[in-house]
Amino acid sequence: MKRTVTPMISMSLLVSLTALGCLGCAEPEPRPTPPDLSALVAAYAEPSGEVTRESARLLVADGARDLTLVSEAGPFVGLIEKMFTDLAGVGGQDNGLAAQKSGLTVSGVKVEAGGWIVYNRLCPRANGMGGRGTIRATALIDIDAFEPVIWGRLSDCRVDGSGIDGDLALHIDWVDGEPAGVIARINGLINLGGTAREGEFSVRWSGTTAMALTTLESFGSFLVGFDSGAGQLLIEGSNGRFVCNDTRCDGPDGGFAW
Amino acid sequence: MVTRVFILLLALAGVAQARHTDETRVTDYSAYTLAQWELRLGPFRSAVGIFDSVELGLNTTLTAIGIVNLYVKWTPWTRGRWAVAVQAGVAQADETLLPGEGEPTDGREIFTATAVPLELVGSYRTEQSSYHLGLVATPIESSGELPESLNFDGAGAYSTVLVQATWEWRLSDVTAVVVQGRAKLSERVAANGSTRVDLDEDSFAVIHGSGGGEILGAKGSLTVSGYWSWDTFNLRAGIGYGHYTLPVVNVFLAPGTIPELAMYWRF
Repeated sequence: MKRTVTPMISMSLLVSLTALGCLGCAEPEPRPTPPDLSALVAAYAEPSGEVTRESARLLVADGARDLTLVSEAGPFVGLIEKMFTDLAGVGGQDNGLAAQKSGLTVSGVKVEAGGWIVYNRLCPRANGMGGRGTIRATALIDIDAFEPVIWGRLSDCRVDGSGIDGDLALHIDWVDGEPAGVIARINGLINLGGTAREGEFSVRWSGTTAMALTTLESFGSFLVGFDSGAGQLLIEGSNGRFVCNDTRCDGPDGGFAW
Repeated sequence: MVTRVFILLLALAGVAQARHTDETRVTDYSAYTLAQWELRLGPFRSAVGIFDSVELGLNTTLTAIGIVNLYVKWTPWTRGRWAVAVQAGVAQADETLLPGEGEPTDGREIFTATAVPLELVGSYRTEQSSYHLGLVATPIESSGELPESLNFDGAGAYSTVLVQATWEWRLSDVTAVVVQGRAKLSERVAANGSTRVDLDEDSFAVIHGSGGGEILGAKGSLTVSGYWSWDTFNLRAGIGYGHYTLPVVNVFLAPGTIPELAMYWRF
């Protein structure tokens, strides 16, 4: 029997074989990649500026706009906390979809898997303000809890006369499935209580305390905000947290006035 | 009807094209192909040589039940006792093959599963024996959409890689003994899925699950069969034990006794 190579068809066969082979290249759909918030989290954990008479005076005076944004952010904080409640409800349901992390071995299968939830909500009706806008966010599931970063977009979202149209990124400290502390970063057009700005704004809240990261040129970064439960104005720097008013601050090692 | 086909095949068998000879080597598990315009017809596998080194074929049974399938086998290299071949195929089935299912009427893309078996095999032939070593990779992927009533949009994939070693010991030009071993090198599963959950009138969530992994544990089989090759008719029958792999798609089944059966006319 003759056994010969057929050069004319060899190349087209190879091309065909390669094309056929790629039909089966399926792997699990990759999970979305969250934004990197590590620098923001580090900045909130360790503000670089020292709270002194001079820096505190400037922060109380010049930081008024940040303080206004923090104080007016309440309705949006409520919207985001509603999202946490919704997500916890969805994540707790048995939807028949395994959400397991890599490295587990279950019933003889070495699992490489993950799940995520895309959350969509219409913003509250704003009286006489036209459309409602939307909040859309993605949360990654890590075994039986959410991963720290949830991200998405607030699209022309309006609440009580305020509005946000920009990207949203949240870093959440989950403790027993509950958000013990949240850092929110918004990048876009922000109008809170009549104070508007375009660019990046962030705020951290935990319990009744809400603090915003702000930077004073030649002093460094600080956190300024409120404890609404105690009715206190707060400034936090590298030397600790201070309780302040318009003319005085008191911190861990005493106070000062200006 | 079957009898008529059988008689027709016997009538066609005027020119002897079988026997365990160097001219009519077994093509089942080897690097060899049918000669140009040589035919093989059988209930399990049918093929034609379109060149001396290229064979085109299909699984007859799968075709009969509506599973479209085709393979092409090519022997690009032969040197003395040695030969190497590559084989690629495709098999596709859709939801209309399921009992009670027809073409979707809701405008969605029909749910389809596609297998693409790829094989590389080398053969070494002596006067009385042939030795064959093959590597078989078979990815299977599903696509399309399930009925909307299921509220689930998903796709899955399954793939195997196995090695197959075969010893063919020819006792005469009619009778041979074939010992074949198959062992799993890899078996992977993967799936994507999503489902929508309405939370209230203003909100909903789409839950995505994406998973996959390597199925652990050894799998394989060992079979021994007799292979009889008369002038045109060929019969292979035997038995073995292990994980049976489904033809074409190479899906591993639970371990057990494995019947080995092949029959065809070659002319």
